[in-house]
Amino acid sequence: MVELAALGACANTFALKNDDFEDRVYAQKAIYLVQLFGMDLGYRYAWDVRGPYCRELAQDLDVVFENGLNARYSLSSKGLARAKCVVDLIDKTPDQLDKVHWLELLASLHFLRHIRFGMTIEVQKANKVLAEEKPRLGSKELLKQAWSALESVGLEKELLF
Amino acid sequence: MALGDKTFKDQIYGSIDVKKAEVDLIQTKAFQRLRWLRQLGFVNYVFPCAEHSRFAHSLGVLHIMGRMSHKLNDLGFLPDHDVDRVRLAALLHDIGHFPMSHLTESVYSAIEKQKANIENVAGIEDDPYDKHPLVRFATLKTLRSVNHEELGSLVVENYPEVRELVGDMAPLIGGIITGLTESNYLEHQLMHSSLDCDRQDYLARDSHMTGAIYGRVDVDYLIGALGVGKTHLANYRSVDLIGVYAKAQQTLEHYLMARFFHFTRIIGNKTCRAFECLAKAVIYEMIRNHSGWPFKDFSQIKACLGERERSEEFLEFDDINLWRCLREYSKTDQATNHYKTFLQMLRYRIRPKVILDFACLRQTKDHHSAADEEYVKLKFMLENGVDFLMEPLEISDPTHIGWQEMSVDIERVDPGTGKSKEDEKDYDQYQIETPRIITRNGEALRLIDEKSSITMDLSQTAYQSLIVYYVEPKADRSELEKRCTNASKLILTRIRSA
Repeated sequence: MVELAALGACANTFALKNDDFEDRVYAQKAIYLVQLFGMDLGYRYAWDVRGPYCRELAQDLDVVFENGLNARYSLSSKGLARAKCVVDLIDKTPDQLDKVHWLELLASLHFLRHIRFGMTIEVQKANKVLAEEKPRLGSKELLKQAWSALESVGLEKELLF
Repeated sequence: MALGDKTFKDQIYGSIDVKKAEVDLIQTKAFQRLRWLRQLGFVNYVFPCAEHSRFAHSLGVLHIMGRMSHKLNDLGFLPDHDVDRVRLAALLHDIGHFPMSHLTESVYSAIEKQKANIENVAGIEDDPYDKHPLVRFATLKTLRSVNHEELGSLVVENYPEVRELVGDMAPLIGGIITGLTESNYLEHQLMHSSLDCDRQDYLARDSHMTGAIYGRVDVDYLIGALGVGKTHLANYRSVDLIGVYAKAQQTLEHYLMARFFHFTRIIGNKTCRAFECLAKAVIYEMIRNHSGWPFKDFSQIKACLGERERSEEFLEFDDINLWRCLREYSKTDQATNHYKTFLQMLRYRIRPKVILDFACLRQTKDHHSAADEEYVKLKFMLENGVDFLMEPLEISDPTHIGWQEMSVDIERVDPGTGKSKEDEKDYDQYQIETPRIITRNGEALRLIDEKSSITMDLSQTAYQSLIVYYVEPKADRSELEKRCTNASKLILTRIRSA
């Protein structure tokens, strides 16, 4: 079980849950984002209905919660510094969205722009795909807020809107 | 479509026609490396003829992909240039494969996990498995954080000779290999689904080479019955997906069952599994400590593909070099005693003694279903440490005790293997990869939704096997046999009374 210590510690820090579908969407996106900040837990994502999704992570989260690993481990100062970047993003959740959809939007935009098509694409193209596939999250205002948030934590650089 | 620029003779298919562009790729050093990667790890320790390589398998996958893609091309679903691309992806699908089948992937995954834990988790500094090297890989089953598909896409994009030949197609081919980036759903299915060309070839080839007949399925009929039908993914998007026409439903189910038995009887053979655990333990120690092995972690493997002048180093990442370094390291003072013992056992096929071998069926919808109470109790006890086995075995050092669990189900048919996969039911990835039947009205129906499907019921059950083994190379075998039989009885009594 110790193999999943870092995932357990992340679940602890982000207060992740595994009870219902929305909990698991939130967990998937939080781990996606924390990996971008240098905590590579080895999860590789594919595009799915609610954005980037990793089947192995879903299985490992089951193990983490069944065995209480979220209560057993906590992050080191280095781990906490990486997790804080995600917390900073969560803190920027706009009024019109809940945290699950906000993380879904952030992770989806990053994945669309840099991973889904095997190369980095223009922001406008990523916006267009997102608006087509997730109309609820695709308003101009939300997209701008999301890109700004990603830029503010260094995941995007010098974006021009 | 002009084929036959070159023909390879093949034990399974008779002959394999290869196009000029494919021959050029086969001639690259990166592809020739596959000759030095055995397909099945230590399966040949039980099935002596299973000596085939990733090279032969890759040609076989190309052959199956050729037949499947031609069929789709004939049906009007895959244009000629797409056929060329998927054929290249099939040929190159294992070009990033690790040595010794999937064993080394597990080892590198463990190394990455430990690195991530030490870096990010408070209070983790030591290696918790130092005293139990065989237990390290007992339960590391869910995550292959390091995988050959990711490395394969990097070879295609970065290894100069290969990149030059595939040109602008590199990102697309890399995407088909990993299955993670966006590609045409039909292309994805051809490479990543229950009925993909990789699975079809390894089933036939492994079956032929091992001499175990489980994998003999009617591939000709399956490919002949391939079709494309409509279905809806999430968000009600209508898409075309591959399936087989209803007349081939039983052939498809036989194929799925054959794969189930292939995994339970060949890959899951208890002796092979015990040898593989020894191999993982020695590979782990050697990678960590031997200066002669240059690939210390996944980033170092990837690094040599990132720099043109270092790309040749990647060619050393094969079985031969791994074995050489395993032997070299055993001669150093750094090598632990158990390393030396395990390596000798591997070299000379001195069999670990399996003292307990439990198997049961579990309902996949229930993580905790206890089809076998003793199995569940034993697993619980093992997860809390193997020290309780020392007294029955009359030993004072737990280093030589190991255990390993495996679980096999009829893959990708039923989404309901626990709550996570219940979620997947609505996920496109599952929808695309699950086997389908093409109905008369052109619908691509999931096999699980077909009322006459026998695998629908079977797919809700998983086979689980747990082995406990003991490594003792020097003991007299009959004395060891007696000691292990007594230990096994004692342990069983304790499990029953626990």
